[in-house]
Amino acid sequence: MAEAEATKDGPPESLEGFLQSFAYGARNDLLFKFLHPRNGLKEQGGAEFFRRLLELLGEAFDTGDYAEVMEHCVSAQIQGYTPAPNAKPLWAYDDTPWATLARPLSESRLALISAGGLFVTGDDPLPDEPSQSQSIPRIDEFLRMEPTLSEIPLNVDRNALRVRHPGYDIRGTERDHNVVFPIDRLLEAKRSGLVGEIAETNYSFVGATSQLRLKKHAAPAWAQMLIERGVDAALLVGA
Amino acid sequence: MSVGHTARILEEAGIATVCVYIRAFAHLAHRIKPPRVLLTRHILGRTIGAPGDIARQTEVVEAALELLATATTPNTVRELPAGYRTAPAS
Repeated sequence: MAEAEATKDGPPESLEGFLQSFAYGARNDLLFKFLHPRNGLKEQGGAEFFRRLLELLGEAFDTGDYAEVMEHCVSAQIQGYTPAPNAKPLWAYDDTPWATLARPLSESRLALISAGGLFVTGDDPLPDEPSQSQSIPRIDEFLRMEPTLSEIPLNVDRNALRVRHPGYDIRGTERDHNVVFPIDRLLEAKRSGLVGEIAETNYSFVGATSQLRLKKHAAPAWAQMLIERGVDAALLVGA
Repeated sequence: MSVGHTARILEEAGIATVCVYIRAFAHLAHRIKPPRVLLTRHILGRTIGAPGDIARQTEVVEAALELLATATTPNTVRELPAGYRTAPAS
């Protein structure tokens, strides 16, 4: 909040400060955190984003068609998140591990694993059970933690699903878990014969996590558990 | 990154995977190199489709399953055409 308050009596807010405020600042908005000028849009791109957004909104007021508004936001998000070609990546690999399905997908058991931060009421992975808004200022803490894999039974009461994730706007997931946890779509795919079986237990964790702890400890244990549960294949959803 | 790293480790253990990312994270698909990746031209946090948009969600899930069933080349990255709902849910 400091940035906005400082401007009340202080010097005019800079464009840089304005754009920064959308990423965990005074105007935090996880849908638009890509506007931070350290990202690909930079300051000029951020200013142009707003100019064009207003222009397209004006068009849409007349036409009722908001498709271009959406496309503008998606395009800006792509530009914002795409690193510069010369940026040194934190993680990069030359090879790709490859497992082949032992039998056709239509005869295989598939599990869903979502990085969207879902869990079942009463099974909060964090002992202090923070709310979404309490979790957002703790993003750095999440990024240092080992992720916890929440188990979500296939037949769980959908109203018992909860979501908390300090890295993305969860309103869509709260309205419909299938936006990042498409369990109901998978059940339909099983009914239509595309998949042999959906696992009795499916999974979610908070993707904003320590990559080192995920790689070294958590994910190998998850793999072992999935094998013990007879899982042949997994659909992984980023959020 | 988390999904890509998890996919790599599951594959090493013998479990075949397919990842779905939004298009804005395509660079991760190319750097982390999970075996099979479907990209959707959606906004962050709506990877599979808009809330209640069963048609788009089905399209995305079926495309991911098809990739899982048919891809033969490691780090196959496929992008679905745009299709995020921009009208109120009916």
